[in-house]
Amino acid sequence: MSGPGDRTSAVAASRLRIDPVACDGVGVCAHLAPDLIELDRWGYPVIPAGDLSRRELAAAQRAVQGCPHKAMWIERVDAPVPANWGPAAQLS
Amino acid sequence: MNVDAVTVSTSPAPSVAPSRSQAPTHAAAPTAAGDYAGLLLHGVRIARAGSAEPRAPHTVESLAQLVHTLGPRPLGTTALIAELERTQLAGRGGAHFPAAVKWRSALRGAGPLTVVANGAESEPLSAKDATLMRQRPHLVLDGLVITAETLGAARAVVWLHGDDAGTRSAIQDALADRRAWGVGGPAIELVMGPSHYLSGESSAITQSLNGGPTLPTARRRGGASFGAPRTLVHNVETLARIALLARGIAPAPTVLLTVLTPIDRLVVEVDRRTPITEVLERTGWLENGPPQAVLLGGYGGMWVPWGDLIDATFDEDALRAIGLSAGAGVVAPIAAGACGIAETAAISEYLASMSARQCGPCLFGLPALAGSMALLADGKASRRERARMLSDLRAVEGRGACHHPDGATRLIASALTAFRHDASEHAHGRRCAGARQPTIPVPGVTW
Repeated sequence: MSGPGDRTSAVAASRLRIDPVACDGVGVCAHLAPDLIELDRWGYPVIPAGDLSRRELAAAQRAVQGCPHKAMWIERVDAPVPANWGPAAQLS
Repeated sequence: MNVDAVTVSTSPAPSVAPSRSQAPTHAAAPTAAGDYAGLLLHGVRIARAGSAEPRAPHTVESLAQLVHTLGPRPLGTTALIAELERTQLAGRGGAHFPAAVKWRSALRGAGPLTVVANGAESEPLSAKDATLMRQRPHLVLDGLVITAETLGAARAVVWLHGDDAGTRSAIQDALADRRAWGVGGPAIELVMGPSHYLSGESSAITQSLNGGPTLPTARRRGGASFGAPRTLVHNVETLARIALLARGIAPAPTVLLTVLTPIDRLVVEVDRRTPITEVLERTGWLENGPPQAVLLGGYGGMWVPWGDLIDATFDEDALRAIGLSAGAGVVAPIAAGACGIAETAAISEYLASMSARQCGPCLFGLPALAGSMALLADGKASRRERARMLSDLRAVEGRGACHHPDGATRLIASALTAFRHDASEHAHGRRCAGARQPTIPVPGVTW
């Protein structure tokens, strides 16, 4: 598993994202990107929250392409994403 | 008591605004200084569990009274956007998310906009939104209409839980009142959503109003397309405050609380600088020694030991500075003899049962956590079970489409800290004596 130090390479900030509603715990992603994605004890992928290094980005792309539910994507981030990103951040 | 606009009191008619004695019967007038206005007409007592039906008749502000007190509804104009930015109005649904940020986000895109007054108060202990809608429906509806007008919305919707008959009739009466006066402006739709816990979640409301199931959704790649339908969901109290701001009246620096007392619940408005201990004292919690701890923010909130609350007020910024939040204003203490572990186990089981069952970590993680908590409450959690619970807490947090699982992990993690001594006793098979039954009401749990 890559440490935070790996994430400082010159690649523009990219992050791996998952739609947990679409994810069915098939687990293909963890096979395609074993150094990046682990499965929890129920078989669902744990996605690293931080910026991807160049090497991680390649692995992430494999995982995105391999997902049978198209539940993952790679997002370019210009600004830091708040910890409570996502729809729940819109809770009234 | 550090209260300007309203007070909390345990007298039979709780919470009377000082301005009320001089004001007309509806009592929501700005203070003598005329600089701000409170939200509730008076506090109410309701049953310890169940609907928000007040035990005594409550005051309802008619449209004529609202206009008499605060003047007619102003048109929604873009000046209000600047006003929201300036005052940094925070949402009152529990997350304290800035209203202006939601407006900016709603203004992006070109699809038809729906503005929603979210009155589906999912937290079972909370009744402040239902109380506000029953007492001042027109203030909430004004806020909805003004927001819809300002942002050029195509639809203005009041969204309620399907089983909330009391609030539904309050809104229906108010809509009839508006029709009788020939009030103009955007039409208001009343939509009764499902009664499920998560039907008050904003992404679930959004999906439902766009023709889908009432289930939370995750943000997808790149967000919605430019022409896609847009939905802005505001808590009803947030909209009531917007209705005051639009009239040039600063909303009172208050919070609406639902306090679980030893015998019932009290919905009350207090100055946000009010010490939490003072509210507990006035609701009868100090009569037999202080409570052991307080569940602050409700089921998805956090346990705070009594000692940590001594200097705390309901000022959200100050609470956040010490790692706390009042959420949507639920204050649920437990007495010294209660078992915080058993209380948490009961609530965890309820939260697990209320999962939308869409996201794996929530679908499997919440029942696993609830199961571990139940074993711990029974004094039967092995070392391995306890280790698994800690690892599950880390595995579940932040991995749902909505924040439902995060509420559950926050609750359990705070219990293991606040009741660490009890947790250790339970881990060694020594349950709390005489405190097996939870004292905080949980829907569907009978004892």
